Amino acid sequence: MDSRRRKAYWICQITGWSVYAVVNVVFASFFRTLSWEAALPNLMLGALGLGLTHLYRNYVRRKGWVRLPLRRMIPRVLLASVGIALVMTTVMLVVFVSVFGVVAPEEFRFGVALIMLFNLSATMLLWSLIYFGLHYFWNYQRAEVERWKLESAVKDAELRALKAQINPHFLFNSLNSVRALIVEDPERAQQAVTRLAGLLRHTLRSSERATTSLEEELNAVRAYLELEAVRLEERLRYEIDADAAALRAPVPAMLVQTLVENGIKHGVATRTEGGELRVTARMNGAALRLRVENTGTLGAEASPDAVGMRNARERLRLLFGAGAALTLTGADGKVVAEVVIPLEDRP
Amino acid sequence: MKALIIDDERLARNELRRLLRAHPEIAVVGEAANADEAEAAVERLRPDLLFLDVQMPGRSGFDLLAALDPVPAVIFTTAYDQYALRAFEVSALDYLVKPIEPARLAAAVEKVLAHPPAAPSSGARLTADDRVFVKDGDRCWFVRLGDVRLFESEGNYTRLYFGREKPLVYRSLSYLEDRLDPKTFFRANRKHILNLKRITSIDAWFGGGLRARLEDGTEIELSRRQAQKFRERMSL
Repeated sequence: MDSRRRKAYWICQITGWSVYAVVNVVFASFFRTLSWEAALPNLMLGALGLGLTHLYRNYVRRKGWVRLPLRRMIPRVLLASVGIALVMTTVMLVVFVSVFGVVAPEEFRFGVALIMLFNLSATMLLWSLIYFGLHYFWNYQRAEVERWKLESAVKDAELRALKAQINPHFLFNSLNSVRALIVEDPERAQQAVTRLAGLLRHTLRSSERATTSLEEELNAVRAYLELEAVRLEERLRYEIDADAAALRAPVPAMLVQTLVENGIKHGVATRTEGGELRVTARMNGAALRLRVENTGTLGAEASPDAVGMRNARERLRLLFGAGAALTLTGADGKVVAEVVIPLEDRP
Repeated sequence: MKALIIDDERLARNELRRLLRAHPEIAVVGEAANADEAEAAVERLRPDLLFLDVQMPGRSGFDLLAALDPVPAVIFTTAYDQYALRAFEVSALDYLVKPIEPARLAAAVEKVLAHPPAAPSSGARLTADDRVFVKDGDRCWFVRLGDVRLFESEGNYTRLYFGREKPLVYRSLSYLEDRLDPKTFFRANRKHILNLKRITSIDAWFGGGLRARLEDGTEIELSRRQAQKFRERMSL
């Protein structure tokens, strides 16, 4: 607990019980003339209340009552309040009788005790109400702030996922190439703009729905590769080869695109001599088998893209079940990403 | 002012060349598509200014700079990773994001023309005014050699001491001794080269040696033979 709250607690305790004692003294003075003898028991009562409620509060804190559900907390609080009131009543009666020697008829003393017990129970309940009420309010506020933080974190993550779908480096480099082409080869510049628009449209649409047909995905991949070829020129050599039967199969939107982008990034763009990339799609029984193959060695892309690969795997599993798989293997100067999507129970 | 354009994309190089036509003060003397080509071109053409793409196949733009001494003025060009450039200790460099805005290019060119780098000492010694690019891990610095007070040998590497930094560079101390201007830099012993302008005091030391104290309080002993040379040098 922070010191600010501890301070607030002590201020409330001391002020509360002082006011309680003073009010009692004032009331007593209506019946009897004000004297030390009449005031002292009431001041004692205040001090006793302060002490007992402090012990009560320490116990409540240690047992974590504040976090209990209401139906378990209310009986405990009721019992504790009456219990404390009982202790206070007993102590006060013993003090009255033995120290001050106040004598009263037996039955009258019993009546006074009952009234006192009732009053003190009410006082203790009020104390509990304030104590637990304040804690509820604080916890509620904190929970609200936590919820708000969580919400913004989720939004942030979603946004980042969307942004990650098109590599900004690629986007700006492409725009730069287009700018150069406008002077050099206006016709190719026009083609490039159209392809960029197609790719952006596919990317935006993919944020709205989870899967797309392989045909649409490959169209976007083709547009992407053509744009990369404008940029990388003769350094990029690529091929796309898909069965007609495979084209209608559903795939996670942007999955092939992500794999191809990775292949270019690690297998072509970072190599002075460039490289090759090959995409194949085949129906294998009731499963779609996708391969993205590029020049390069696995070491360079396995670790930095671990997160990307894990995300892609997770998406595949969520969309197509445990039968879907994504593997990344490297051999003979080639890296192969292979995706298997089971399609039995799909139209 | 002679400029070299370094970018792996032909179209990007053409675009920059075209944009630079508006600045006749800048003469584009060559192009390079990667760090290897660039290193050779710098050697051959001795440009005063590099337009340098950070991300290139093979060695990066930073790696290229670390291999050059001295380093000409540099304007980085980058598609997106301007964040990488913020890692710099010295902000005395400019960058342009692609596609390049003509107005930003004009401002960057103006800045370079206003503070031209010291004329590269054409293959001779590196003077105190020459700048080198130092890359140690992820951190990079442009350092004026005159600001380096001490070079300390660590095998094939040398540690440079300047300000509060002490990065390690892949150059042997003997290589540096051959490259550095002896008017400013003095080989004190097997392990150290001192910047004479950063010495605050000299004391006699055992066996005819000397002990030099640098401005940061470091004390470096001069071997007897080097102390002899030092005395000759200092006594005119």
